[in-house]
Amino acid sequence: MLGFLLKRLAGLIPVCLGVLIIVAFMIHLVPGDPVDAILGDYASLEDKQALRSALGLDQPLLHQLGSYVGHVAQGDLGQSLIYQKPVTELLIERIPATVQLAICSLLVALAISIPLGVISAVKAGTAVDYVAMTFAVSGVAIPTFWLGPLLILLFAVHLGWLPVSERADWSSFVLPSLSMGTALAAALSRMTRNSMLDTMKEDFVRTARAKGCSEFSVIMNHTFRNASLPLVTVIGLQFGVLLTGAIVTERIFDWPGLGSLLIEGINTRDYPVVQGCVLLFSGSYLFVNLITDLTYSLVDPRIRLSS
Amino acid sequence: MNRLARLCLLGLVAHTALGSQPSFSAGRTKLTLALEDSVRTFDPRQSVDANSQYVEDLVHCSLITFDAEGHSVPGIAAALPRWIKDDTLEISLRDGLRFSDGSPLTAQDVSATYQSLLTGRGLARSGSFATLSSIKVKDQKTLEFRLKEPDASFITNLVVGILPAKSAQEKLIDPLKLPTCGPYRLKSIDINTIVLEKNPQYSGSDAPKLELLELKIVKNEKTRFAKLQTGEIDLVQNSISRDTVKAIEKKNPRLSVIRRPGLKTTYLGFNLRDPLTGSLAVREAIAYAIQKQEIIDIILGGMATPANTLLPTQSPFYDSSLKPRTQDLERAKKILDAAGFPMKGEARFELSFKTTTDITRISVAKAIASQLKKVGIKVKVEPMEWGRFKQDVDAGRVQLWSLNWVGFKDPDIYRHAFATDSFPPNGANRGWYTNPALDTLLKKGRSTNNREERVNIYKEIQQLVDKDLPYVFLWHEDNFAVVNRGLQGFTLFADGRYASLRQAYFQ
Repeated sequence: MLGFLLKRLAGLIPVCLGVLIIVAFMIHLVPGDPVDAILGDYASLEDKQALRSALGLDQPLLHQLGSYVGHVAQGDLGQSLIYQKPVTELLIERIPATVQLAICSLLVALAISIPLGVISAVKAGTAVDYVAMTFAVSGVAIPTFWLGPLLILLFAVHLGWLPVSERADWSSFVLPSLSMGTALAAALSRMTRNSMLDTMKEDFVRTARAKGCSEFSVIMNHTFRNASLPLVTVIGLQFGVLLTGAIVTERIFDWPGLGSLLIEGINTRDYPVVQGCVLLFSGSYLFVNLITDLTYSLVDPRIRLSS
Repeated sequence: MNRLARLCLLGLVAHTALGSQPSFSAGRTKLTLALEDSVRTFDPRQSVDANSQYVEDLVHCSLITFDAEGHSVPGIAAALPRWIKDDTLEISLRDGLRFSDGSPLTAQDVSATYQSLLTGRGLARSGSFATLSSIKVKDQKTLEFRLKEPDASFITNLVVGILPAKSAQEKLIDPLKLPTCGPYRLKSIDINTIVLEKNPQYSGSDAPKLELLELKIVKNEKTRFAKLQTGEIDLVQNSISRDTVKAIEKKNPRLSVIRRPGLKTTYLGFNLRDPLTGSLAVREAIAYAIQKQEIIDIILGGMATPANTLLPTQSPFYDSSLKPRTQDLERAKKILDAAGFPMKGEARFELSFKTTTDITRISVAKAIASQLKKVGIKVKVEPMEWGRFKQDVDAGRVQLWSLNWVGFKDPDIYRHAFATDSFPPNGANRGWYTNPALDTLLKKGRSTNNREERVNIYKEIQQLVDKDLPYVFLWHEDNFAVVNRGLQGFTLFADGRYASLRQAYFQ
């Protein structure tokens, strides 16, 4: 177990380094000048050059990159060009909002998808199944940029039950979580249904019934537990997506998370912020995958990670 | 299960009843307004973006400021600065000036603030003080600004928020600890919310009536609209689409829409180094082919005034004698025929029109393209991301483009936009227009302190530019705001500042 963990952790380093180099090259290739964004249109050429030099932007790209990687290795993600604050500080400010939203969205998705998928599998081929799967297809098809404003219109503007946006008390989490969680719920419910249907055909399910287990116990303890292994993989991957893919939702709901910071960084060509965000995104994705792998052994003790 | 659902519903209703929605009722002392983008800095020496300057105007005080029309008026100066020599300004401060911590504001603080801009490379607003040579403190209340050369436009730069002398020496300042001298002071700064509270030490005669101002950063337009409807915000200025404004005017009794002419001039730019757009005949034909009012009515919801010069009509330098080029398709066709651009099949020639990805800008570009088609000019509209667009325009990789000039107070903007020595990257003469006679007039207009003389010079400048047509000036956009109907005393300023919030209150 420990060997497996160390091996996987060591594997993260070259991946992160690769991501770092690709992102740094790409952001520098995008047209636009951060100095213009900082100094505005009326700045003199001398001032622009002085600032460019102070920020190290007049150095060759490879030099800039080398220096950046060196600093990152020491835990320093650099200074935001626009906010003049350490990037680490900006990221730390935003991480809780993104993680909270991702967890809430995942909970919403699980709360909807697991009962829906299980019921749909148990009632396969009936009206209940068709209704559930219609929801699943619709959920995948409805984009967040459409669903988000629709939820705002219904629950905030017309009914007045919930606030429009912003991160404040519990009520502010409802709409963004629903908005993000619905698409995931739809995908997960389809997967739960399929996995359940496959498992229900297994011999051990028939044996459980023959032993006289209650139908609930057969479904939940025998079938669902065995059907949940592929779900864990998908949930793990999707949690990574939720952490990194909340850009649209954050924009619609004024969510002060990493997605909105990344967009701001791109718009203002704040290179260190963009690099810091992408590095964090890729790191968190890899970390979630690692956790997913570790979870396998908990769900299915037959799996031994050391092998 | 039913019980649980009922409980949840009850919870939601209770939450609503307990005040999740702000009240529209009278007597409120807190106002919430929405900004469409972040406030990048709270250091007045660094604020070059609009939102930072709006906050600066509420939190800091400055030597001069501008009235609702955009004309210079004294701020903490006792009167407008006086030219004692061609290159020297004298300024006296008002009595009883104080920072929010109660310490007196003196000429030393003013001097230190501007001195830091003079010596501090990398401070964003240093560029505006390129002609400043030295600052002398004559006594506790009087200062002298000496320039390297006469520069009449310099006065309009004296709007930088004044810092305590000690803070002005620091490159990075902590905004929450910084003593300030404006009507409000910073109370808290969050990622999406900035709260300002009344400054009890404010010495101006226009002390604010509202105790708290809450500035919310709401980047999505639909969300801003929804927040206006629910009463979560009381005021949005300019950052709502014109279609939405129309809907609000018709349907929402809780909100009202106010508007006034603004200091924003939209133009169609030409690259004069391009063989086609470099031809005066082509530019003239384009000017005669455009029906500005039609675009204003359809795309801008009528919220603009057709322009024929860079300066808005309320500017004292505006030349009212200029004759506007109104749409005359036959004349445009004749000009093109005479200049050797006959019809070849469906069009005479094709031009590229680069614009940003902003929906209104794309609509305007498409409308202009369709109008130019009527005289045989085919236009390919190319929307692009801002960074790429600006890079292409600055590098001259354009034929037609559209942008606007915002918030300028002095006609010296003509030098920045049209002087030969303002070619990028030195300035914003992005059409590479050059006219030695204009250059001479621009220098004269800048170095003359006599107001009447300047008015005449800039009228001559406007006529020259109108003749050479480096731009087709399209329109001066109105400022507009959607406000909670209960808010009284709020008026729009031409430059978009929120200065009138000092007088605002809820009825």
